Amino acid sequence: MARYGMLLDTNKCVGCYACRVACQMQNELTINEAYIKFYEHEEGTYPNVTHEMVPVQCQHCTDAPCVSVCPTGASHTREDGIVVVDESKCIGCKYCAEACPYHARIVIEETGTIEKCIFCHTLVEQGEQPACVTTCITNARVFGDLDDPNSELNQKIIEKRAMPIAGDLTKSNFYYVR
Amino acid sequence: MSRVLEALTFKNGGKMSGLTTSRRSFLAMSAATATLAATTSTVSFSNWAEAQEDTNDAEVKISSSTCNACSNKCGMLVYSKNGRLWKVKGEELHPYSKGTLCARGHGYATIGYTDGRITEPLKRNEEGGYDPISWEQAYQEIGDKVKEILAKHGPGAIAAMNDPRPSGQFYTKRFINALGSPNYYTHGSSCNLSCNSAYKLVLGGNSAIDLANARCVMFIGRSYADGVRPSSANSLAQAAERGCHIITVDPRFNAMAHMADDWVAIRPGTDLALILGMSNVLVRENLYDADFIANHTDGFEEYEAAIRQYTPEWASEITGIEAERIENLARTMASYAPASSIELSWRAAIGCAYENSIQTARALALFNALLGSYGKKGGQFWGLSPKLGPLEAPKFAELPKIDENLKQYGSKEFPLALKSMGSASNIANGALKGDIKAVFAYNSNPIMAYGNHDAMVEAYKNLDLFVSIDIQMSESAIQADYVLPDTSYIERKEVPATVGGKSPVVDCRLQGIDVIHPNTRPVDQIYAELAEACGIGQYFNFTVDDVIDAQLAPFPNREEIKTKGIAKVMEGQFKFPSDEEFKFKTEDGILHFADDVWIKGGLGRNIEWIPPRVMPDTAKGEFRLIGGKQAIHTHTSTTNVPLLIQITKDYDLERVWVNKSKAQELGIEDGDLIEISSPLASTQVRCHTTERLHPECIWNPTHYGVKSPFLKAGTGLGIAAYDHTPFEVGKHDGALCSQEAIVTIKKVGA
Repeated sequence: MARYGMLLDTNKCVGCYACRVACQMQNELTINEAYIKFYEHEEGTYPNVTHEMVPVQCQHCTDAPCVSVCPTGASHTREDGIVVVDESKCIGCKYCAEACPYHARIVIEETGTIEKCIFCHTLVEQGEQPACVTTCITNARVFGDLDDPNSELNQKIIEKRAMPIAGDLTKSNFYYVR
Repeated sequence: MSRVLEALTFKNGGKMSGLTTSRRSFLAMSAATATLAATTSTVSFSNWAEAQEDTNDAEVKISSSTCNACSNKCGMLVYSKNGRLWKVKGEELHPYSKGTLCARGHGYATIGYTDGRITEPLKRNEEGGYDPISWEQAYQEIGDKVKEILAKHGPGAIAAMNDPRPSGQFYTKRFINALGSPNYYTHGSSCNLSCNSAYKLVLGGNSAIDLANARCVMFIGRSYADGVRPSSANSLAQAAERGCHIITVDPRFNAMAHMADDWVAIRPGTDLALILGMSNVLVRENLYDADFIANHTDGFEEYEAAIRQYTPEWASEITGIEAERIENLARTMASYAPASSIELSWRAAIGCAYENSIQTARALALFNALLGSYGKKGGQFWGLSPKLGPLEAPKFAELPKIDENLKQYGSKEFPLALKSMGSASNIANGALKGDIKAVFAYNSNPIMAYGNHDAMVEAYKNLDLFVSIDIQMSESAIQADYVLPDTSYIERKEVPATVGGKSPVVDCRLQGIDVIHPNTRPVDQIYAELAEACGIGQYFNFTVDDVIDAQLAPFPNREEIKTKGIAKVMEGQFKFPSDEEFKFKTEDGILHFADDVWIKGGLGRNIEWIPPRVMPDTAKGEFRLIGGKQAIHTHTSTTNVPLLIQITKDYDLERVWVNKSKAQELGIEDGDLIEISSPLASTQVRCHTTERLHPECIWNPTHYGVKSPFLKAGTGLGIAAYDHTPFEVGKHDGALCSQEAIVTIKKVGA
């Protein structure tokens, strides 16, 4: 069984928001509902300055606080490592949203339930990549199997010394190059 | 903000943008516009979103199309459920999208479902509002008016302008030419008229950069991450990764500057001086490609003499960049030659911003010749250009010969301007002088995009006939005498288009979704019917399919193009020319360092420094107002798309940038409401204080300041691009001169 993860190279990310909109359309979200949030970081003083955009979404943690606090088992981790919410079990208590250190969870306005990035698992099951990966104009994102040492994802993690954004806090399966 | 992100993500207290949820409207809608009769929308964006949720089990249909969100026209696949849009995806084969799409590509596909759509033909009434009329009445009245203008003033008094391709371009041009008028214009005057005119004269036409093999590239005012073509952004990221030396020259640390080795924060409007200074270094240090110059150019001796005066020290005074740094930039570029060049750019500094933009582009094209980069791997090259089949009589009636004394309006005043673009901005002058009596604007927003809004309104009021063919009630549509509702691009099939390059394709937009509003019509039908009403119907006795058949006839894989919507052509035919084979695209195949052709446009035979029209007096607290694109918007056409404008709202992207130290001097803090003043206007907008901007300018994202009451999604956000820009087209080329604007700023309430 695969264990899915992602890498995002912020050196390549140009903050174009293509991933956000592709995700919204793929997952049929409303305009206010976005699984991907953007954190912007400016460093230095003019004219010695640099700038970084850090898109953040569900980090699909192995030690997922959202899963452990969920009172109904709606938030759970699939066999392939993808953390999902079972809408039929979600009571909208928002414990998970509070517990998530990455603020990756949103309330779906219509149902009051919680959702977040699901690594587009329906696409993945059809052999495709998540929408944010497919559309990324600079190939800043790599999706793949963390259990496969030969996957492009694992090779890039090693080559680029990618790290989870919060170290080993939640054993995140989402790696950043920064 | 999350504690983890605060503590761990950003070492130096980086902030999350976009947490502000309360929004204020800074621009009150004018009372006059509120009297406009509202067009009724039968399907709104929220209806579309709701409908999506009911279609989870519906069969998904996939159709090939091309994006219309900007001028790139990337290939894409339209996924629909029950005839309604679900999503889009980049087309793998297309050279510009290569399987990806930018935010606009996704979001703009929903434009058909947005509020603000024009759903029926409209006629302006005496109160300034609009009455719905039938198509027949619209055609009849427009046709009668056109015939009257033709009889009274001749075809030269009629002009047409168009942004989108390919059907929009094909039909708009054929229509105006069938009327006997040469007055066809693209949006170039507010984009790339200055540079493309110069490149035509120096090189014979735009070259492309071989970024895949480049060892060094300099960008001047051009950002692949702000004015996006996905494959270019991708090539840049790859180039950066493999160690290509990237230099970005820009008053702003733009969205791709973090990939560059060097950010050169230049004083806005002085890019020409930098290029002249670097050219001087190459010449005086013998760092130019003497063989290339001997084999493919003439006039170098004159150029050499002309360039001697432009020392790095001289350039330093003008640009604010240290002389030693200018020397090093030139030496660095030369060290990587010929796989080294300055990118040719689109808009901004070189495209349409300054009176000296055309001269900047000329100097740039000559600089690349010093490096010998033309025709070289890693330098500048000309790709393959597939040729569409001819449209022959009798099916396609031969167009009437245009009177040879009748020249494209503006071409006498601006002989250097590229004829295939012309100056659409200058049409306003034609309207003011009474030379131009009728304008057809297809999916164009000249009132907002081609010059200062108030000046354009004043000018367009003078027209006897202004027809807007569009999908939404733009600032131009609300000034038009007649508004004709177009379908959106994914609702129709279009004529073919070619994309040249190393691996060219021919594509053909196919219909991806059902027509949304029953009383809208596709562009081809509108023009054919308009032509009939104007007495030139004989030139439009064909269908889109007839055009497709004729234009695809030369391609062996035409059936594949027709059914799949895209296919590669001329496969395997590209190669870089040998030095013997290489020729510039100019008439005689060589590049002229000195040329009399420039004299008729008020420029010297030899390259020389000319300043921008205005400079801010910083001692008096003046700033130059510069502008630029954001990756999520195109011109003024996307601000009514909820998916896109919500990003602006979430991340406060409509704010005007001010250099942080300058802001501190003025007591302005990040997020403050500031007042921007010029002789033309006083506007209020929130500001973003940043270290990423030259202190002598302020930067405005040029998409906002919506003035049409129908485009509600973007109302109240930001200021319009040219509210502070005096309407005066460039004297050499008729371009907009978008950044010849001086303003002062202060904190509101201070």
